[in-house]
Amino acid sequence: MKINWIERLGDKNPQFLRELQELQFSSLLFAVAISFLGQFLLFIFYQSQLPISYDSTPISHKFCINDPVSEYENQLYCLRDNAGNFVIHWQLWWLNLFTFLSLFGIATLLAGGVYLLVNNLATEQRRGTLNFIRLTPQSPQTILLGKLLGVPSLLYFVFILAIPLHLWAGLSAKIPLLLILSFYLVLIVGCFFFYSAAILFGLVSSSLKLASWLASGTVLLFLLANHYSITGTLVDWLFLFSPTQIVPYLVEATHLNSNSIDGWLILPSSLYSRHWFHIQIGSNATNLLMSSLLNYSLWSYWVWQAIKQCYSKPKKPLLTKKQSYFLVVCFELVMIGFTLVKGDVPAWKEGMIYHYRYLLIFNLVMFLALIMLMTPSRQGINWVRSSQKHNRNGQQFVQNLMRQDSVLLTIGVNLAIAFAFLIPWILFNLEASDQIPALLSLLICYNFILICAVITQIIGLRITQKPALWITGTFGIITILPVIVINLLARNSDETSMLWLFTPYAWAVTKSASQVNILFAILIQWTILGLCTLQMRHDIKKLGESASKALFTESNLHSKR
Amino acid sequence: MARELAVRTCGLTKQFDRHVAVNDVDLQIAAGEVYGLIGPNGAGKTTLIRMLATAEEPTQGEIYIHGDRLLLDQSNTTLKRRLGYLPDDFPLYDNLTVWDYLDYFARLYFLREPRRTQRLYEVLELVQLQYKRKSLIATLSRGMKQRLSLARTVLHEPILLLLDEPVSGLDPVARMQFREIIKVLQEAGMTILISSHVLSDLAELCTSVGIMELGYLVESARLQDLYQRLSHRHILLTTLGDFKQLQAELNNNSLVKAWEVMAEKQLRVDFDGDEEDCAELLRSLIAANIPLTEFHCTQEDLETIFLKLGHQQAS
Repeated sequence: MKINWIERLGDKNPQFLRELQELQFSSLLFAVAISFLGQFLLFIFYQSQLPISYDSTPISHKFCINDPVSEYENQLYCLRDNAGNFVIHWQLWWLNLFTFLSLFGIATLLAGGVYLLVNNLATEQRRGTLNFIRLTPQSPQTILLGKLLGVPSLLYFVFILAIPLHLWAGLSAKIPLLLILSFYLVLIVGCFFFYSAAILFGLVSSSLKLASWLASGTVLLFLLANHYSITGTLVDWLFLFSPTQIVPYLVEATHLNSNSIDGWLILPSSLYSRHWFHIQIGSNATNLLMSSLLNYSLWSYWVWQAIKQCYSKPKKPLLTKKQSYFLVVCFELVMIGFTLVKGDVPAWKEGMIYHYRYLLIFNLVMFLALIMLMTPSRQGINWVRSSQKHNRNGQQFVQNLMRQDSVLLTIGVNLAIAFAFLIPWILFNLEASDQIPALLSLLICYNFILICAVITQIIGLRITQKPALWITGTFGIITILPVIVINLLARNSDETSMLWLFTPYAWAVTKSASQVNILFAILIQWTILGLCTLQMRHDIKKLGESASKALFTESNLHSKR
Repeated sequence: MARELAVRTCGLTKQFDRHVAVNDVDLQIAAGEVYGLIGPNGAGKTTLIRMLATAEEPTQGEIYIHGDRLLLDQSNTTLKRRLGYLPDDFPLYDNLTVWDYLDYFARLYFLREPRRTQRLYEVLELVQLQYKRKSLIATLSRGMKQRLSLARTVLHEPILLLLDEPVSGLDPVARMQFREIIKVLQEAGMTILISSHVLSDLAELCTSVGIMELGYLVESARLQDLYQRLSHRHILLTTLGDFKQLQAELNNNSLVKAWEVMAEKQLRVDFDGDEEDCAELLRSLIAANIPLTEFHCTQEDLETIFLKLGHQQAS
C-alpha cells in the first residue's frame, strides 16, 4: 500500500520523490527532536510566566483573573481560590502561547523555506544538474513544484508535528476552529507565494553568492516591518502579503478584554477601514481571508509566468511583451482599488494627493522591476545583431532592434497603459488645483522611467559580466542618491528644492514650482533621453559592425584555408 | 532509396557576444549512422551538439530531428524524448545511489512500471554496473560514473544519441568498454553523434565523420569515401630474390605510384588501389615467381588524413 502510494507520487512528480529520497532517517529524527523540544521549551517558558504564590501578599499579574473586589477599588490584584492559589486566566495564557507559536511559525516557515529553496537552486545551478533536468520532457511546473514541496519538507515536518499543540492552544483560547483553519489556509497559500518568489529569485540570482541569506533576510525584515503597518496608504497592499495579518482577527475572536492583550495583537481600527474599490476588505476575518487569497493567487500566477519563462529559456526576458501589458493592467487595477477609500481614515484627512504620491512611487518601483524583467541577456540581442549579416544596413538593423527586441518599445506601451489608468484617476479624484501639477509630475516620473530603460539597454549592450547587478546598482543610485543629496543641499535653501524636478519625486515641488521651471526640467529630461537613445543606437551600430567584422574575418580565414 | 535523415540542420549559427561559435552549419546525418565530429578545441563541436540537444538556442538556423523541426518557442516535449545527450562534464547527484539516480531519470522520461524496472536492469547490464546498483554515486570511479551517465542517456531509448567527448579522461580499459557499449547501441539501431579527440576510437566506431574548424563544418563524408579520397595505401614488400625483378614487376602495375627502399630487399610502395587491387598485385608478383617473404598492406589513418587536410588535431 505504502509502496503504491510512493510509486504513484514519484510518477506524478519525480522531482518531489527525489527531494524526499535525499532525506535521511537521522535528519528526520533530528526534525522530530527539534519540533518536540521546541514545543516543550515553549510550554515550559509560558508555564514559568504563571504567578507563584509564596505568601498571601496581594500581587497583580497578567495571567491572573483579577479579584473583583480589588477591581472595584481600582487595584488590580490576583484572585485566589480557597486554597490560596491564584486563579489563572487560562484562556489568555493559551492565547499568548497560540499567538507566539503562530508568529514564530510564520517567520520560520517563510524565512527558512525561502533560504532552503534559494540555496538548493543555487547548488543545482552550480553543479550543472538543473540544466540536465531542463533537457527532460518534464514541464517546468512539475520540476519546480516538486522542489517547492520537497526542498523544505523537513521544515514542513517540524511544523506539522507542532500542529496539535497549536490547535489545542487555539481552541483553549476559545478561537473558533474555522478561524484557526483559515489561518492555516492563509499560511499555506502565503508559503506558496513566497516559495514561488524564492524559486524565481533562485533561478535569476545563481551568480550571487549570498542570495539565500539576502532572500530570507528580506522576508524577515518584511515580516518585522509588517508589525508597524496599517498606514492607510498603498503600503497596506504590500502588507496584505503577510500571513501575520490574520492573527489579530483570531485574537479578536476570543472576545477578551483588550486591556489584558498585548498591544500589538489588538486589531487596529485602520485595519477595519482597509478598502479596495470601496469594498471593506479589512472589516472581518472572512473579507481579509478572501482578499489575501485573491492577492496571493494573482501574484503567484505572475511569478509562475516568469518562472516558466526563466526555467525554459534562461537567457530570454522573464515576461513576454503581451504578458507585461496584462501585468501592468493588473497592477494598476490593484493599486487604484486601494486608493478608493471610504470613510474617515488617515488618507482622507490629507486628501487624495497623499494617495497619488504613493501611486507614483509604486509605479516607479514596478516599472524599474519591469525593465529588469524585460531586459534580455546579451544573447537575446545577438539574435538581431546576426540578422545584420544579411541586410548589412545599420538603419534597418536599428529598426529591427526597435521592433523585435527592444525593451524601450514595450516599456513605452506599458507607460501608455499606466497613463490610461492614472489620468482619469487624477481628473476624477484630485482637486482642480492639484490636477495640473499632478499631471506634470506624472510626466516627469515617466520620462525618468524611459531614461532608465535606455540606460539599461546601454548597460546591457556594454557589460557582459553580471549586467543585472550593474542595472540594479544604477537604479539604486539614480533613485535614492538624489533624495539624499537634495535633502542635504536643501536644508538651508529653498532654491535647491527645484532640483526635485529632475528626480522621479517631482510631485514634492510641482505645486510650488513655476511652470517655466517645470517645462525646463521636462526639456532637460527629453534632451537626456535623446542623447541616451543616440548613444544606444551608436552602441548597437558599433556592435553590429564588429559582429559583421568578426563574421567576415572568420569567413576569410576559412576561405584562405 | 535514400535513407531517412536523423539530423538535418540548415544554416545553423550560434554567436556568443562577438564570437561566432558555430557558423552556418548544414549538417546531415542519416538514421542509424555513427557520426564522428572532430576538430580542434574551440572549433564549435560542443556548441553544435548542445544546440542539437536543445541545451542551447541557435542564434540562427533550423534543426530537424527525424524530419520534425525543433522550435525555439516550444517545449519540444516529444523531441526531447527522442534525444539522449551526454555532455562532457556529466553532472551527477553524488548523494543518490546508482539505482535511485536512474529511477529518478526514468520517471522524468515518463517510464512507468513494470517497464521502468526492466529497463533499469537492461541499462545496468549494458554498462556493467549491476553490482554497483546500491552504491552511492560518490563512491564510483570516473569510468563508472561515465558509464552510469551513458546508462542515464540511453535509459529512455532515444533514437538519437549525442555524446560529447564521452571517453575523455578514461583509461584504455574503460575506453574499450565504452567503445563496446557504443557498438551495442549502434546495433540496436540508434543514430549516434559522437565528438572526440581520440581519432583511433572514432575510426573504429564511426560510419561517417565531420570536421569542424572555426565554427564551420569543413568536411562531412562517409568514412569509406574519406579513406578512398584522401587515404593512401602503402604496401611493405620484402623479397629474398632479385630486387630489380621486383621493381620491374612493380613498374608494370599502373596503380603503383612510387616506392621507397626501406632496408636491404625491403620496399615501401605507394599504392593507389583498393583491397582487390592489392590482391591482384600480390597475385601478379607470385605469378612472376618473386620470392616474397612479406606483403603487408596498410592505409593512412584518420589522424593522418586530418593532418593532411591542414588541421591540427590535439589528441
